[in-house]
Amino acid sequence: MRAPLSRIAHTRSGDKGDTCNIGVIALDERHYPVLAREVTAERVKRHFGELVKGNVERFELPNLGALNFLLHQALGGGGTVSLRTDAQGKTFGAALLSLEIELEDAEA
Amino acid sequence: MTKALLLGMLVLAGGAFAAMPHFQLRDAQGGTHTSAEWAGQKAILLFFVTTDCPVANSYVPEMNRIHDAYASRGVEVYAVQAETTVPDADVARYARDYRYGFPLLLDPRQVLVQLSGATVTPQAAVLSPDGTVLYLGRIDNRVEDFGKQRPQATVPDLRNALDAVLAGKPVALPRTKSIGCAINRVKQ
Repeated sequence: MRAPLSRIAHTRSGDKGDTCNIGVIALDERHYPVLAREVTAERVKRHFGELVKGNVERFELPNLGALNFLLHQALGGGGTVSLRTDAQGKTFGAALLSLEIELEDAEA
Repeated sequence: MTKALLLGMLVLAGGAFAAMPHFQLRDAQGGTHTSAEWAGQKAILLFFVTTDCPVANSYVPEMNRIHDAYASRGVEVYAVQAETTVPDADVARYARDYRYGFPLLLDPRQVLVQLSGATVTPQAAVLSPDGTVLYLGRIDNRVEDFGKQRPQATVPDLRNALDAVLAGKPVALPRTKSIGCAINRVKQ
């Protein structure tokens, strides 16, 4: 079944210069393998489209049941030069929660 | 007989209050609020915010304008700090710095987040005094999508919802998509 990422995870996002950092944390540790399988760097890059000019890096943190993403060239130059309302990438976490993922029946 | 009658009245009273959320919450300005304030109001308006959400912060002037336009018409207006990990003193300073003109409630157990089903900041909820959610969504369409916004809003969704409720009519769009920062739920 298809479901939004918000079904199994929560997120937190912020900035370092022009790079947005998104932490994706499984609400239940049994869902970490689903995160690792479904939320790839390529899918995250595709999800944000034109908002992210650079590459997306993924870091795995199985001991925390979490993934960490760095989205490069994602903040219009960064907080000190960007005219965006959200120059710190605070809304990126919420945006990622709408990513559609595939859940097996046993995982739902 | 008298005991049975009294017990029945208590049960009925309990039933009547079953849907009414009971809470006592402090605000960032030093006040205390209880669900009893909701009784007799025409509507309750909750603005869910977090201190570090730039989209929510950009809406504070419009939240104040909506408060000024509707509070005298029987709408009880509150903001709700939806993030539970921010120290109370920081929320108090934030309320002063951003000049909230109405109470900014501290909701450490997310009672109002749960009641409204709020997921994002900023997000507005219009409730009836018995706690029924009549509207949940964006304040207006100024922020169109993630990374996209207009200079000025063209659809005042929240004001439309409030006008409908005050006119005793159903809200035409009771749910709209909110763009902003995710609310992290606390385990209940």
